[in-house]
Amino acid sequence: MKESFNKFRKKMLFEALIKSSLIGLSVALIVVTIPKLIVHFGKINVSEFFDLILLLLFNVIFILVFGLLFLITFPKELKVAKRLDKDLGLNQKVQTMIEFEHDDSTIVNLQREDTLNILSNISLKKLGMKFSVFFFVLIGLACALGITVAAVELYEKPPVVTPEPEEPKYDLDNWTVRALLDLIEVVETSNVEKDLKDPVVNNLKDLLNSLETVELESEMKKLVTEIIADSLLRLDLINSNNEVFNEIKSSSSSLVKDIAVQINALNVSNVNNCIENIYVYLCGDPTTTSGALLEFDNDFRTVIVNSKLNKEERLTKALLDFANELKSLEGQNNLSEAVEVVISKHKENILNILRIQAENKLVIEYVVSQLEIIFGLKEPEINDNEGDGTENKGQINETEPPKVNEGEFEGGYGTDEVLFGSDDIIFDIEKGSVEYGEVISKYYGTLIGMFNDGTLPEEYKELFDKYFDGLFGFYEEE
Amino acid sequence: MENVSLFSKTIENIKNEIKKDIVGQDDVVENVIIAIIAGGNVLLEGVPGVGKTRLVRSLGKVLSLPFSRIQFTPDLMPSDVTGTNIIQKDENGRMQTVFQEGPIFANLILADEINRATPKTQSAMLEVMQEHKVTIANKTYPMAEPFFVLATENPIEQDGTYPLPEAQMDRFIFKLIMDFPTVEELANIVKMTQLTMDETACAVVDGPTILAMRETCKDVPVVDDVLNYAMNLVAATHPEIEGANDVAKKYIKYGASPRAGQALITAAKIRALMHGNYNVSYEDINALASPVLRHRVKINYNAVNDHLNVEDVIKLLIKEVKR
Repeated sequence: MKESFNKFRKKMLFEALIKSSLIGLSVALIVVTIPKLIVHFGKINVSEFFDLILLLLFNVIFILVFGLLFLITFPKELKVAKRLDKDLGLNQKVQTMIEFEHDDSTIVNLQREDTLNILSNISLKKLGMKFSVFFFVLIGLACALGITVAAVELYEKPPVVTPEPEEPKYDLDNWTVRALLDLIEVVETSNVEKDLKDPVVNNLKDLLNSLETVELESEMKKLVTEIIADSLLRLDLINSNNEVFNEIKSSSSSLVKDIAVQINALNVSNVNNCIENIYVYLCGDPTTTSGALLEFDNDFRTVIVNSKLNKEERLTKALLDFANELKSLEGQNNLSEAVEVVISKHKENILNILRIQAENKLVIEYVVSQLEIIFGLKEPEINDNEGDGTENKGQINETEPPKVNEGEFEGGYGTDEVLFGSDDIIFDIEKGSVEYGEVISKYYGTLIGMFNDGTLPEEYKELFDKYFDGLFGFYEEE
Repeated sequence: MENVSLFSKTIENIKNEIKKDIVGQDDVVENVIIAIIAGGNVLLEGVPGVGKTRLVRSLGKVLSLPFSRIQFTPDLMPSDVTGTNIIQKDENGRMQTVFQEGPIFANLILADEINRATPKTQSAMLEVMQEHKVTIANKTYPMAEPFFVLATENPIEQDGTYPLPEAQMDRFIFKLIMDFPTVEELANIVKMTQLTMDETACAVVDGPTILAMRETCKDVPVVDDVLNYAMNLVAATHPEIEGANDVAKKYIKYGASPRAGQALITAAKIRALMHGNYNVSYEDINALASPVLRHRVKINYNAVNDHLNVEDVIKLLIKEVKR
């Protein structure tokens, strides 16, 4: 009976579905595109889940808006009736029919029948779908925003490919070649032992040759580092002073300890002094020479004999020979004179060995420092008298290679005018190879600063003061 | 079912018959018919000679209802309208009091120039209109149904008149305006009356039929929206109520009574059926708004200043009131 009415209702239901869907989509699209655009143009860093969150938000909003709108626009009978009356010009016939649906009076029945009859004769097409201006504006806005986002997403700037930083190429220049050649010459003309000199020179020559073929700076640095390591290793193999020191420092005799320290430092002058002290100890009181000799033998020769040192190694052998000959003097008359002879005989041998080892060390350390500077492993020293340092590039370490100084050392603890070990050559990070006396004040100043700012504990200050007082010649032997 | 189908046909017949005697004035004729069926009375305004008396006389013929015309003059007494007791000799010669019916005792009354009568006479007339009965010397004489009064007011001659008070005006379901006929209509009137001055309409319905039609109309359904619209329209004529619209506040002195709402719905039902509709629509309400409200709404000087009459104000209200 009401089919003629229901057909219009179905159409309105379809309209409600379309409206709710489109508005839901539009609102959801607007809500998610705005933050998307803000993030894009604001270049805001967002989580990797941002798009997923927006998608979820889109779905939630769409469902909510669609559901709400559909509920609101759902074509209930009375709503349909009013729409039909208005759009089809039926003068409240349909509305009356619906409102008086349950009225069974004659005239109401007639009214119902008349209305249904009229509806059945009206084509469904006559009821058009109604969309408000706001609807089209919303759709338009959503489309505009959607297209904007799509365009923004599709147009992606080509990814900025950050090229991997090229490894700096090794730039060979004449200065490097010249510096290397100078270094090779220094080593060749030095008094370094052949067993050490030759391999070091060969390494340097190989390095020079490889300058032509090495492309990357990192390769060059690696090569240089390897040569440095090799040179230092060879030095350790040849120089035994450190091993000797480690073995004999455990002696209970302070004389032996002193000489051990000085051997370790390769301080030839001090070793000479130590040997003199041994003489004084042994022969100072002729009445006690025998006992002193025995005691010294115990503290010195026994320690060497019982050590792990290679007894055939030249320094060890020299020391052992010295110790053995001293022992052989036991029971002799005129011990003092005999001791003096033995000491004289062996002292030079020992000192010569130490000179050689000192030369080895100084030259190798010089080679190492020069290589570090030439190839940029360390900042070049800045010679204050010669500009800002860049000018010195062609004048790397004009100073002569270090030489072992001996004889000029006054020995013992310093006097007022002479610094203890002031003429010893050391490597300063700023000045390169310099005499100790040139930098000792600086070191002392640095140390005092560290005490003042609490870097070093105060309790050690007295100890360091005594040390430097001695170096500066203010220390008086107690 | 028969009553309803008969309704439209009867109305059509009535209209056709009246057209034989009345040229034009279709709206007036239709509204008069509505008023008769609704059981109301009509206040008719028109210049002399437009056919007011002829309309009522013709209606009387068509509806087979006795017609009476009362010409109101300032010296007309209430008893001249309602009737009075007179002393009369009976057959035995004894004096007895007999009620002499006045001209009011008819079904269709034309109360011509009612505003010329004194308020006392007017009130007597209006009392009969309202109650459909006359009480004289404690005796009540009911009017025959259907009872319909068509009162006229002469808009031209205002000297010596007693305009009906607003409270009395409210008793008329409609106020209708009979405009001067068009030239064409005038020509037709002349042609018609040259043949004969008498009404040529024939009877097509009788009193009981009118009453039956009245009952039938009561069942015409009115949806709540239309009902509320009609009530809002009536309420909109009141500037003093809360939320009154701007038109009422600006142009209306006082608005229509609740009788206007009753009249509007009753008349709308009849009109709907008359037009072949089985329900009342907004169109029915709008069409009857002026006849129902024009004599119940008093415009103020603002309207006069803006050259607006009550019709114009009612049209503005119709636009203002939302459906």
